[in-house]
Amino acid sequence: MKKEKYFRNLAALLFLIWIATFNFISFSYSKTYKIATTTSIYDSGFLNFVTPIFEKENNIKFDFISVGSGQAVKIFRNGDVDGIIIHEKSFLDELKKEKLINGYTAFVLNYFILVGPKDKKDLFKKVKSVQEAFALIRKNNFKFVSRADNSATYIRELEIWKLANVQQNFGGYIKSGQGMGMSLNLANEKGAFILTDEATFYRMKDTLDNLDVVYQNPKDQVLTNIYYFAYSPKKAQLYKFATYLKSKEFKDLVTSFNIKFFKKEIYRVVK
Amino acid sequence: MLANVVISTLVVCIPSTFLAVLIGVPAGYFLKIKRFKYRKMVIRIVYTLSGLPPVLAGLLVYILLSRKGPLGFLNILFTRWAMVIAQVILIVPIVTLYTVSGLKNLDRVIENLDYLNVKGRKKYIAIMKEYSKEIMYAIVLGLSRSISEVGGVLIVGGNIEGSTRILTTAIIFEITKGEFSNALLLGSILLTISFIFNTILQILQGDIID
Repeated sequence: MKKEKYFRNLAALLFLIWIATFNFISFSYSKTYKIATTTSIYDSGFLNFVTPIFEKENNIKFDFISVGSGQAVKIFRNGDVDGIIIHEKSFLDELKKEKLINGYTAFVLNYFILVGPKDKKDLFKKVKSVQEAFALIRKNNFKFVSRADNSATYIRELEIWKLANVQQNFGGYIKSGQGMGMSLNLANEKGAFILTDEATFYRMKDTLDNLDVVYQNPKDQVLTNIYYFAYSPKKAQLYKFATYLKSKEFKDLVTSFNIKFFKKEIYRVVK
Repeated sequence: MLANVVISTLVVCIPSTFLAVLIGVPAGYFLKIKRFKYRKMVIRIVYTLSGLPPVLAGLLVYILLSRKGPLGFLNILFTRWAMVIAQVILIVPIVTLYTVSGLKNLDRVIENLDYLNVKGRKKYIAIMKEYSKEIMYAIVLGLSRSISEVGGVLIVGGNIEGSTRILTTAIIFEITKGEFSNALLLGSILLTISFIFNTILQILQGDIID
């Protein structure tokens, strides 16, 4: 029967296409490394902007898996990825103690900022510190979105609540349990305050029409957000990437990334 | 970039449906004609599994394939293979269940074939021809499930650009970035692919619905 033949040919063709496409990406590079990364630095497009040159020069391919810092550390510990990029130093110190990494490279930083509804911005004009701003939110029982997800941003948020000497179980406290982007969307819809990193906020600013920066301070240690790279000692080749992150080439890329997407300095190279 | 996502989607969904049909149709046939002790129980389990939450399937496959898991030596977590495995687990019960309920009057068909003395391979081919519409519909069901699935493949695939990022996970990714128009665009592509699949299958088989 004609119909059967067509069907058989089609199935064979689809199968061939499948086999061909399944492997072509991994064939084109000599070595693939899996890197678990925190959502913020990946979702901003930063990693995909700064790595292709390195990949091409060294014939290496990176597969980035974008998850929260907590999960990134877990899957690194399991050995399911070869390296991590996170912004929570305490996690790295633990890994170092357990000899799962030899060290880590601080390569780029931006700052945490407090954003909130535009109409409440004036209330924060006289605020002197971020903990004071948090206390003010608590005092007025304003809505506040917390990621509550074991991410570095969440850990920092808890630190600030502690500094402000405030219990977070107030009426306006909303636990989103989601990544930075989704939580920002939520805060925008609910007219709530939220602690966020500059890069994610400015990348999304066009869709966040209800939100504005209410407090920022680059001099405050607790608001400094440093990104680190670390890799498994079993994948010693990755030292090349750590070196690259300290190079002039990388520095220039950071500058052009800032110009292209923010028109101001958001990511700063760590010296 | 977009082409890559579309290719990845096809490369994951078509083979997983293919494998699921390869397993599910014979399993359904077996459940339909063989009488054994815990048959009803097995069918009930298949019923339950046909509603298996994708995130649970994703979690199980993740644990299985993680380097510390029993199949960790395969080293295929965060690859398309892992996604195919998760999807096969999700689709097989659906295909099986549909086959069991789709093989109506199977006893009589087999009786007739026995009467005509059709045996062995020819017998199974004749049965497949008789129920080709049902099998085709099982394929359609499997494809629709696999192409719309997101929770499971996100967990085991890791949404890696250029390899495990498929249309559904890309939509989630665009939403997390607040790029709703991109997400909508990807969604319409997904729907278009689904439409093309269904059209091809209908042309191959004639109308599924009488």
